[in-house]
Amino acid sequence: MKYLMLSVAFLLLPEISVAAIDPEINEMINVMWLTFCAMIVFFMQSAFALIEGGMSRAKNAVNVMMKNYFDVCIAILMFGVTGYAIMYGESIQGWLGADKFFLDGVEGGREYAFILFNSMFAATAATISSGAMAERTKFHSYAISAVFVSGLIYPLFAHWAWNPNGWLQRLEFIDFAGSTVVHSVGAWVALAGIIVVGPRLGRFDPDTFEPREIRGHNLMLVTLGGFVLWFGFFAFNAGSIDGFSPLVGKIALNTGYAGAAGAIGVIIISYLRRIPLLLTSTVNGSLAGLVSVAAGCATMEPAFAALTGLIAGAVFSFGRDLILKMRLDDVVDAVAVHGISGMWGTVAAGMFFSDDMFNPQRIMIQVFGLVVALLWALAASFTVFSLINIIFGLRSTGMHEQRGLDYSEHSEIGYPEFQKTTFRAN
Amino acid sequence: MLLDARSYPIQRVLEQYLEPKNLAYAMRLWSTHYITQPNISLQRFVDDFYSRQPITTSSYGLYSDLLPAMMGALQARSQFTGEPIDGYEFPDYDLGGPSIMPSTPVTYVAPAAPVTNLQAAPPAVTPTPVPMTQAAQIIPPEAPSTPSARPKDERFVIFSSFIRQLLNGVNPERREKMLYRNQMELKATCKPEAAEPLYSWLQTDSDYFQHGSIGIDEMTAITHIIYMGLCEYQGPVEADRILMKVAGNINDQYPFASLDINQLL
Repeated sequence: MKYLMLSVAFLLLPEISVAAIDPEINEMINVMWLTFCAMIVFFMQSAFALIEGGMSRAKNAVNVMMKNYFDVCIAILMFGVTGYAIMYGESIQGWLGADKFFLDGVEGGREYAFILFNSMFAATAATISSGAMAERTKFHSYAISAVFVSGLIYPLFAHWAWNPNGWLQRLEFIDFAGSTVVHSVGAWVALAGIIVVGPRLGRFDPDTFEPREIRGHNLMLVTLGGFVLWFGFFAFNAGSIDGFSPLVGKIALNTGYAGAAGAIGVIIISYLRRIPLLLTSTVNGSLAGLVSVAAGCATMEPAFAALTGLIAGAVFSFGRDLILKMRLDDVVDAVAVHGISGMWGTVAAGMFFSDDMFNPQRIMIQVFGLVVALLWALAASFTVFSLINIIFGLRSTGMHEQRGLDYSEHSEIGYPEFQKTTFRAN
Repeated sequence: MLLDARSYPIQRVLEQYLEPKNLAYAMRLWSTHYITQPNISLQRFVDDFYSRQPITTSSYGLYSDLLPAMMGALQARSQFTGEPIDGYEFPDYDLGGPSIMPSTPVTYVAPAAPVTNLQAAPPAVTPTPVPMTQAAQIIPPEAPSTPSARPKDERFVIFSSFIRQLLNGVNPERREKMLYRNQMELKATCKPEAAEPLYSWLQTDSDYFQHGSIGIDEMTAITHIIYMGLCEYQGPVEADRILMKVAGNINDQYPFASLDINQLL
C-alpha cells in the first residue's frame, strides 16, 4: 500500500505538496530521491572517464580509465572511514567533525542515503585531478592522493562550509551544490598536482616556452562525456536540496540554462578572440557553466543562472589561457573549468542572490570563502603531492611516458589493433 | 647468387697461385671447413690444401698474400652501412679472429655479445659461397686503407642507424642544443669509458658507433633520452611520429636481425 501511495505521489508531483502527505511517505520519497540522485551522480564518474580518456592520447587511455574507476572506489570507502565524520560529525568549534568515524553512530535510512550522496561528491572532488595530471602520473601515487582528497582535504573544507556549525556556514557563505566546496577544491588539488608533477614531455617549447598542442585521441568520447556530465549535474544540484521539494524544478532549470549558456559563452568569446571554435572548448564551456551555477542554483533566478553560465564560458576561455601562460599542463583544462569557473560561480551566487542582489557584504563573504578554499586545498594537496613525490615518486619515467602508461603501468593496451609497436617484456 | 665477402679475397689470392683444378679443390675445402672458422685458422687452411694437392709454389708466399687480402675484406666490412657494396653483402662470420687483429682502439672494440648474421632486407641473399665461375664477375670491395679496423657488430649497425635517423628528425641547430641539454643524461647512460665517445659520436654525422660496454639496456636508455629530447624540441606528437617512422624503417631494413628495434622502445 505504501509503495502504491509512493508511486501515486510521484505521479502527481508537483501538483500535490509533499508536506501534505504522510510524514513516513515523505521520508521515503526523500530517501528515494537522495539515493536516486546519488546513483546519477555516481554515473558522472563515467563522464569524467570519457572526457579525460578522450582528451588523452590513445596510449594513455587505459590508465586514465583506470584512475577514474579506482578513485571512485577509494573515495566511496574513504568517505565512510573518515570523510563523513570530518564533514558531518559533531563540530569542534566549527572546524572539524569529531565523531561518526567508520559510520559509527549513524542513524536511520535517510542518513545512509545522505552519506551515499555525499560520498559521490567526495569522489567528484577526488577525480578532478586525475584528468589534469593525466598521461604522466604514476597510478599508485595518484591512488594515494585520492585517499587524502576524499578522506581529509575535501571533507574538512566541506565541514567549514556545509556543516550546520561550520565557521564559514555561520558566516552565511553560500555554496548550495559545491561550486567551491566540491569543484574548486578538486581543481585546486589538480593545480597542486600539475605543479608538482610538471608538464608532459614537450608540452612547452624549451626555447620559446610556447605551448604545443597535444590533441586528445577521441573527441566523440569527450562529447559523450559532456552530455553525461550535464545529465549528472541535474542530480548533482537537485539532489543537494536534501529532499524532494518543488524547488527541484527551479534548480534543474537553472542547471540546464547555465550549461547551455556556458557553451554559448565560450563560442562567443572564441569568435571575438578569433580563435577556432573547438569542440573541446565548447564541451568545457558548458561544464564551466554547470560548475558555476552549482553554488547559486537554488538561490538565483533562471535568467541570472543563464548569465552566470554565459560569463562562466568566457571565464573558462581566459582561465585556460592563464593556466597555459603559467606553463602549467592541464590535460583537460580542469583547473579552468572547475576552479576558475567555480570561483566565478561562487561570487555570482552572492551577486545574484534572489531578493538581495549585489549585496556587497554577501559578495565579500563569498570571495572570502573561495579564497579560504583556495588556500586550504592548494596548500594541503601541495603538501600531500610533494610528500608522495618524495616517498613514492609522482611522475612516471620518460620511458613510460613514451611507451604510454597503458602498457607501462597496466600491461594493457586500450587499442591493441592500432598499436604500432610491440615492447619487450620487462 | 653473390659470393660472400669472406670467400672473395681468398679466391682472388688463390687464383694467382693455383691451377684451376687446385683452385677448385682449395675453394671447396675453404667453403666446407674454413669459411666459418676464425682467421687464426687461415694458416691451417693453407697447410691443409698444400698437404692434399701437388702444389709447387711456396705456401709461405701464398699465406703472406692471403693475410692482407683478408684484411681487405675486413676493412670493406667495417665501412659497411647496411647496403650491399658493389653487389656484396657481409654475412657476419667471425672475421675478427683472435690472433689476426691488432689491439683494440678505445672507441671501437670487439662486440661483447655473440655476432650474428647481418642481413639487409632488400635484397635478401643467402650468404653461401658461389662457384668460382661466378666469382670473377663480381667487383671486389676497395682495398683496406688501415688494417686496424674491426668488423661491425650487427646490433650497433642497427642501433647507430636508428639513433642517427632519430637525430636527423631535428634541424642541426636544435639538435646541437638538444644534445647539449641532455649531455649529462646521455653520458650517465653508459660506463665512463663509453660516455665521451658516445657523446662525440652523437655530435657528428657518422652513421656508425660501437662500444663494447654498451648493451641493450644502455641502448634503450640512450634511445629514450634522444626521444625525450625530440619531445622537447619537436613536440611530443612529432616525436612520436618520428620514432614510429624510424622504427618502421629499421624494421623494414633489418627484418630478421638479432636486434629487434622494438626492444629499444
